[in-house]
Amino acid sequence: MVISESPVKYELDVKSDELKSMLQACYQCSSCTSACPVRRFSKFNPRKIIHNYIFDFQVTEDELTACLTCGLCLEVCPQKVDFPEFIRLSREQLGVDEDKFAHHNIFNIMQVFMNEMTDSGMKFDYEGEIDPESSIAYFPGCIDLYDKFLDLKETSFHQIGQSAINVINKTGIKPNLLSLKCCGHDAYWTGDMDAYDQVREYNTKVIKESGISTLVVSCAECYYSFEDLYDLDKVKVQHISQFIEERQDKLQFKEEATTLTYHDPCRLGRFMNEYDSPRNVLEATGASIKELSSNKQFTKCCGVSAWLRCDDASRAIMLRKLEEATQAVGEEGTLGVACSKCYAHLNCVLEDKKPQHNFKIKVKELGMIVDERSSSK
Amino acid sequence: MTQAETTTSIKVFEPTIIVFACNWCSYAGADLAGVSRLKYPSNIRIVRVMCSGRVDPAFVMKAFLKGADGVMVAGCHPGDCHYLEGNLRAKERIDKMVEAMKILGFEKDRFRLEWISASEGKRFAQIMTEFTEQVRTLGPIKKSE
Ligand code: SF4
Ligand code: SF4
Ligand code: SF4
Ligand code: FES
Repeated sequence: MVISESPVKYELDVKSDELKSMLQACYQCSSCTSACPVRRFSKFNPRKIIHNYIFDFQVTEDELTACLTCGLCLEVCPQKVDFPEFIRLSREQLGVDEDKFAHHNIFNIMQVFMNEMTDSGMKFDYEGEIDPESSIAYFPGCIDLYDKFLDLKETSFHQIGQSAINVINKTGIKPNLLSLKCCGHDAYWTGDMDAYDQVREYNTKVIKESGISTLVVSCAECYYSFEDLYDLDKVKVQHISQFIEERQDKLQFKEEATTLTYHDPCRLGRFMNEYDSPRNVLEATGASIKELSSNKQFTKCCGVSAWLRCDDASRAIMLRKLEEATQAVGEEGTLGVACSKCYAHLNCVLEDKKPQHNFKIKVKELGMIVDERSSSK
Repeated sequence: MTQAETTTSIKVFEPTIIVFACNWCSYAGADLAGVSRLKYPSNIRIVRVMCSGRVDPAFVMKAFLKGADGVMVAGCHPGDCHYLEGNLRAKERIDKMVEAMKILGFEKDRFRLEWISASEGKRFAQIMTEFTEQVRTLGPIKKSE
């Protein structure tokens, strides 16, 4: 059991009346708790958290950090109680202890570092045809930093960006490579609004001044942040799957058939309602898709969110995902993901040095799959 | 520049330098410098760790965020680590951190990894003096608004 009854209790003062009345709409049916992936492997209980909140405005530190903010509870809630937003606001008010983050909090430290120590965005080093005058830009996200701080031997994060640029080039487009800072998704969801506002302001300015009309990203979190959280006026944000879908007639696909399964990332699926483009693109490459047993709006999160709390429950969730994928496509199959984070966590558990599992399935990012299975016409 | 010169000049920038030194070699080296009455700049603040392998890149980056102008990780020479490979693992991790600093566009000259043994008191003092001067030349760490 991982989620203990922590003695640390916080008094909550959630000022938003909207949130209060929203939580009060809860009629304690427990649909959220039944659906919650964290609950599956721990004592974490969203229904009870709401109950405690309504009666004595208390929440424990464990509860605050265990939620993945994946939104499955909201999806199944008959009263449309926005529990993830409640958690986010509570984190914003109470703060999250640094010790609760995975990897000694390095990724949040990086984000603050970008804000406070540098005047520029991240420097990228990719091969391919780049045109700074292009109206279409590509932003790889923080993946190059994952390569530096995650000790994974067989997983390349840089390749996500390289594959995306390769595919964009194959469609006949030379993208601008935008040097932005981290999108701020994790700061936003862990309630560090100062850090989030700083990167958002910087990135918004750079994007608008670049004169681009389309910004293409590989990471589901970047897509959600730029499209939903930012206000980019006329700049259209596209997930790499949407970009490829729009231009698939420019690509030549491999003949050889294959079977894949696909994991809907919560940020791309439930948050942004994009279930079709990734599937259409994978199918266009000649792959037939065998669905996971929990998919589309009922997808289960990959197990870690915002680099917060990688614990036994997280690992159990990841192993369960690999098990589902293996059931769908067999031991030697491939699980396609459309988010750099899902790609990180699932490959991490696959590469784990002390495996408690013998999953052999491969986890690949969508752009990589398309790059492998396509050439230009 | 000698210590005497730097302290007499009023306007000289005095950097804050954090040194993570392993208990068995580099910290002992600092001790030896001390007992041998070798002078090294007072800018150096030593954080003793059991092994250089204990130092996570997060510690270094955080030291910068908290206002250090320069950071050094000092451990035993390769082959001498008291936990066998702690220093090699430190090097592997820290080399990657330096690459990450490049991605962020951060001056890597503010950071150093050094191997200093327990018997190298003189070398300890030399390296610290040299690094302090290097960071002094770079000026105060820039915090963007
Ligand atoms: S599903 Fe909705 S109504 Fe039911 S207990 Fe959860 S929050 Fe309350
Ligand atoms: S957001 Fe996800 S992890 Fe959090 S309570 Fe809801 S279902 Fe559980
Ligand atoms: S699963 Fe994700 S958060 Fe956990 S150790 Fe691996 S990469 Fe880090
Ligand atoms: S004990 Fe000195 S580096 Fe490991």
